[in-house]
Amino acid sequence: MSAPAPQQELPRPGGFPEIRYKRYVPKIGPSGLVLFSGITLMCTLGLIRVGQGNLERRELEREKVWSRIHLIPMLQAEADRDTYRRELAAKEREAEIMKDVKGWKAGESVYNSDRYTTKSYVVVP
Amino acid sequence: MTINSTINSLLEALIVIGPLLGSIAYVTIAERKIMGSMQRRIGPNKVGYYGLLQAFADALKLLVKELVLPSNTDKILFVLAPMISLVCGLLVWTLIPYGKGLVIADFSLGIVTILAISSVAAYGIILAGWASNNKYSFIGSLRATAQLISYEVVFGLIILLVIFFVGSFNLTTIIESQKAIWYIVPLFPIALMFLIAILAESNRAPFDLPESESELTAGFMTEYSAFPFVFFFLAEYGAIVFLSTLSSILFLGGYLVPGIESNGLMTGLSLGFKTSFILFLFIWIRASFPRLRYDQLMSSIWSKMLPIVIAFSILIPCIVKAFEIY
Repeated sequence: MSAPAPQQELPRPGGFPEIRYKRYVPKIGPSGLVLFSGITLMCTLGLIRVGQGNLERRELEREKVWSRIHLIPMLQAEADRDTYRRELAAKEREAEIMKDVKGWKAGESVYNSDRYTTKSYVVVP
Repeated sequence: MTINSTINSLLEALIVIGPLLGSIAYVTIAERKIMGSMQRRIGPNKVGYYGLLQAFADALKLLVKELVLPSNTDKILFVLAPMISLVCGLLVWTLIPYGKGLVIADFSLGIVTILAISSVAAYGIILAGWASNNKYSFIGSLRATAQLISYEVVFGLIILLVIFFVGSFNLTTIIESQKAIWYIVPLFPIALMFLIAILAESNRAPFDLPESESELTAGFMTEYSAFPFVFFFLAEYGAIVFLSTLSSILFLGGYLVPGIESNGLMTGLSLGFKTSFILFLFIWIRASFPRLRYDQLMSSIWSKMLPIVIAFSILIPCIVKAFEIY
C-alpha cells in the first residue's frame, strides 16, 4: 500500500480569468484635447484683446502728455501776465507807503546791479 | 486744519474697518449656512432671524470670556502676536480701491506694499506658536510659516504676470487697464493657480494643516482664548476676504462693471459681488475636498505649481515683448 501522491493546489485548467481591478467609470465631459485647445483659444483671444487695450491705453497716455506739452506756452504767458500785474501793484503800494521819505524811488531794485531778476510774489489765497 | 485732517483720517479708517468687520461676521455665517446646506444640515438658525445674529452672539461670548495667560508663556509676545496679525490684516485694506479714486492710500507701488504687509503678518503666527510654549502650537506655527513662505513664491510670481500686462504696480491702474478685458480670460490657468495659492495663503481647507484639529488640536491658536483669539479669528477671516478682493481686482476687473462706465455705489457693489463669488468658492472648496497630507502640500507647490508658473512667467513677457503690447 503506497501513500497517495501529494496534490498541489493548482489553477483550474485554462487558468483563472483576469481580475477586473480597474475602475470602469464612464467618461463624462469634454475630452482633454478639447479642453486644452479651448483654453488655448480663449487665452489667445484674450491676449489679442489685452494687446488692443494696451495700445489704446498707450495712445491715450501719449495724447495726454502732448496736450500738456502744447499747453505750456499758454500757461507760461498767463503766469507772466500775472507777475507783471503784481509788480505794478507792488510798485504803487510802495510809492504810497514811502511817499513821506525824501529821495525814495519806488520800484528801485534792492540789488546794487542793473541785472534783471524775476519777481517772485507769495500768493496767499 | 490738523484737527480736521485727523478727524478725516479717523473717519476714513472707520468707514473701511466698520463694514470690513461686518463682512467678516457675515462670512462666518455664510460659511456655516452654505456648508450646512451642502451637508444636508440646517446650520445656525436660532439667534436672530434665520441665524443672522449668530456671529455677534459668538463674538460677545468670546469678548466676555476670561483671558487665560498660561504660566509658561512668554507673556509679551503671547499678547503681541495676535495684535501683529490683526494690524497687518487691517492695514492692507487701505490700499484697496473701491471705485475710481475711492482709495485711502493710492500708492504707485500698491501691490508691493500689499506683499510686504502680508509677509509681516507671518510673524504674528510664528510668534504665537513660539510664545505659547506648547508643542502643538509650535508645530502648527512652523507648518503655517512654511506654507505661507512656499505659497508666497507662487503668489508673487502670478502678481508679476499681471504686472507684465499692466506695466504699473498701482492697483487702480491695474483695474482701469482691464477695461479691454478681464485678465481671467488671457490668464485662465494662472487664475486657477492663484485661487489655489490664496487658499494656501489663508490656511484654508484643503490646506488647513496649521490648525488640523485631529492632529494639532487647533495649531498655533491652541493656547489662545477670549480677546487674543478674537484677534486671530478676525485676522484670519479678514485675510480670506482680502485675498478674495485682491483676486477679483487682479483677474475679475475689480470695481469695473462690464459694458457700463460707472462710478460711486455701482463700483463698490460690483467689487462686492465679485468678492462674494470668490468667497463662495472658498466655502465650496472647504465643503468638497479632504485635507492634504503635508508632503503632498509641499510637493504640489515646489514640484508642480512653481514650474508651471515659472514657465508662464517666461512665456507671457515673451509674448508681450514680441508683439509690443506693453
